[in-house]
Amino acid sequence: MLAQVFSVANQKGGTGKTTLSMNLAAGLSRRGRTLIIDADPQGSAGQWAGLSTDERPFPVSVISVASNLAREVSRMRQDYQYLVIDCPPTLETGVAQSAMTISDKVFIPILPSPVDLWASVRLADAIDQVKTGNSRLQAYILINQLELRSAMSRSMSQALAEFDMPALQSCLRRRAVYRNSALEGLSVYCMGKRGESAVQEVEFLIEEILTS
Amino acid sequence: MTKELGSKLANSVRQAKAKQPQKNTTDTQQVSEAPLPRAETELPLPPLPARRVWPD
Repeated sequence: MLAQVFSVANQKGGTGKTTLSMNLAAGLSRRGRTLIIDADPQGSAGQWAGLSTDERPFPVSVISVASNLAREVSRMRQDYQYLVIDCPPTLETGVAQSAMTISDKVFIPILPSPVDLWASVRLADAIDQVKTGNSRLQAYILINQLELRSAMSRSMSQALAEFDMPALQSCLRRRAVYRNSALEGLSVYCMGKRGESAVQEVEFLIEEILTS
Repeated sequence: MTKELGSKLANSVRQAKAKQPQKNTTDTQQVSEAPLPRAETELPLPPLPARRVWPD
């Protein structure tokens, strides 16, 4: 069976692409063989996993693909159930578009801020263009770092309705445990009691992704 | 308050969309001669093979 390919993309930096990729992959690895493909030259995914220790290794392997992404992914599809591609924060190199061309689903993490919303308009156009060559691609917005007490966060749904792509019901809250897990080279699944709420929302996200 | 903020946000997104370059509206003949979409024109990068970065 060929792997399902999930891309995490947004041309704006700092939206939580790597955090989402790593925790999504960690959750998916509990369901089937999973690989993270680091398509971002910054190499944050590899750096993250590299901080883990032999006693507590990150549960998913990371490979860095700097060129021929489509060829590499089609080769790896045979051996895994899930491939998660962490895209670079730019549309200028064409790498993010290549990733979406070979993906089943693309997730766009957006922070609850006007600047993030505006930046994502251009990405929505790029996705439309990719869909002409990959009609199976499904794109979803994911609100990241949601703060329930913030009026801006609560107002996001109205703004997201302006996009031509759906937003996932799941969202990731702003939690220190996501940052702390990166520092320890772990996913929130390995953070014990501190990670429980985060695990719950990642699990809810994965269930939604796999059934949507 | 939230509703008002939501309207402002939605308005700002509409404005951002309006400022986007117009999508190609050329006819079929012209489309066939148009450049390939960006997805097929990934800029050439140094020919580095995929490499396992973790675990190494």
